[in-house]
Amino acid sequence: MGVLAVHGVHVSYGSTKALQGITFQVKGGAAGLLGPNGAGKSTLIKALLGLVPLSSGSFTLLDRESRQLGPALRDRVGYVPERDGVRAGMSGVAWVSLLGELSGLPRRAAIERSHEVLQYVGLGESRYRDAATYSTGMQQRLKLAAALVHDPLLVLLDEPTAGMDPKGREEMLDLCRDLVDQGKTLLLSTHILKDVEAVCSEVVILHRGRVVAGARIEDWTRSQAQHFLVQWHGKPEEFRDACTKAGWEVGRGENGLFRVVLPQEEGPRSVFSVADGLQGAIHRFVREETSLEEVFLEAVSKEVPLEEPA
Amino acid sequence: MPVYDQGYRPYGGERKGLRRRWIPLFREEALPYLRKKRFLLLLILAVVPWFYGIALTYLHTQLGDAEWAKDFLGQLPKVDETLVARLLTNGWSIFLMMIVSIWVGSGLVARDRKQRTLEVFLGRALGPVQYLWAKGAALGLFFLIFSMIPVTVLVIFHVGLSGDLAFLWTHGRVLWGTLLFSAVGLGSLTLFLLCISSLSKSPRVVGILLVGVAFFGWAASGILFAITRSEAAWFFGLIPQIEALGILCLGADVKSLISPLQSGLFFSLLTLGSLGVLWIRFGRKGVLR
Repeated sequence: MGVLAVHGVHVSYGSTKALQGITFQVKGGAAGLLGPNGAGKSTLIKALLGLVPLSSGSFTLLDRESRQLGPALRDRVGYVPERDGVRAGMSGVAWVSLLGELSGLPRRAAIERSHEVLQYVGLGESRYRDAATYSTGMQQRLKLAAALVHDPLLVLLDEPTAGMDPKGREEMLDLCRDLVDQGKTLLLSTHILKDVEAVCSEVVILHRGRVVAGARIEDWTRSQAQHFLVQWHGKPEEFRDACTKAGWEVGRGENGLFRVVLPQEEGPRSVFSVADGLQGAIHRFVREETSLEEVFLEAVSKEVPLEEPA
Repeated sequence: MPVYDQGYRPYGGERKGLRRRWIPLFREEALPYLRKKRFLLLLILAVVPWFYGIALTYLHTQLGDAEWAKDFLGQLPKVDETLVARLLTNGWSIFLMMIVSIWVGSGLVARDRKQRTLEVFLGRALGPVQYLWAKGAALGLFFLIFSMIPVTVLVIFHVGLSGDLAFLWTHGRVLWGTLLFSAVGLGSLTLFLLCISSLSKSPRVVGILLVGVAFFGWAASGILFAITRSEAAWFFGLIPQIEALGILCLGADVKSLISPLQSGLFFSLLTLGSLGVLWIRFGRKGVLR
């Protein structure tokens, strides 16, 4: 069992079905929650926090049912909201220590801890400034500090790099990676695929309130490793026939360029072995890299039926 | 190179139980107002009428036995339930109480919705009831400055100057009547303010709405009364209802514009209506809808 397991979660806003039977598991490390705008990512995060009631379904955190844990569940979860979420008129340290106290830390410990986490996220110098005067990047870090002040097991990050400049974004992703190294489990909701690629080991793709794809990124990469682009200098039909005879999937070869898909048990050497027996030569042989972006686009381009309003 | 210059450290210290989590939020809601000079001035102005009560107490307790002062003291009001009801519900105090209501009440929930800190607070182990309790308690604290606190000081002052507890036995209703007034009147007003404040993301809109309900409702009732000459016209006036409740709770010898039945009905409806709206806003549909 993983850190977080979501079973058939449905959430409705009136007649609008925001989430429809969401099921996935996060075993640990960082998982990306990908989806276009309106896919239901933020709703799912709010449902996990108990801010939005579930129409049906449930989830478990560390093998304990959410209903069993009640509000205490949120002592184990940290939350970085997408927008705002910072009290104007309060200094960074006052805001973080208030949230620490709300999570059960005694006042003195909350203040000490808030200094620590602000230092950790790189706001040590600015911690006494009014949070309203912080730049977008600083506010994102402040929100991360607030999410970490009570030392949660699971951190839910809703678009943590939104509005950040490239340097700030990289620093935020560094922090996320470091948190994973510290043993935290992260659920990173975003529509920036590169953020997921940079931090996460697993990904769940949501579209129109449903999970349309989900796997370990490593597995995806491995499955894509068997795709090759081959530039054949010779008779194209001859090469195609040989590949087909070998049982491989061969794409259309324009100007002698073929896409060859090999089964898992065979390697690139097989292509050269087949080519050896033909009249011609391989001029170019490239492993075709399929990015997460392509996987994502393919997943969200599938037609997802919209359920009729209840 | 990472931006941080200190690594992450797990927290292994003590954690408090869930029941008292509202206290930091209450403190953070109330204290910033007490740091504002204008707000403090408002509170000081609110207790000014009570100096009259203190002065009367002094005169009655210190000069009550003096023959030469009997005529003079006879012309002054006695320190009893009627005086306390007048002090509680005089126009000045209620006006200032409404200003405080609007100042504090308009931002109670609306500001958290505007700054999206509501989901941050409720994303902690703090239920909606605790959240609303913390917010309501902050406003209730300021309401006590208009009611329970000056009355208690007046009673202590009276007992201290007279040197016996007779006042407590003969005019005990001053205390429990004020407590009842605070619980029913100011409690339902607090719920109403929480309810109104949860309806919008803009404290300014909420403030305008409250001004409308408090002052224009009062004026509209007055106009309706002038036209119809029916005392039922005062039913929808929040300020006349608060005045009537004060008179009723303290059993004061003052003519009330509103009957006890109407008063009871009004505050019941106000409380149930506010609770209903808060339940819809925070319970049934989720806290952020």
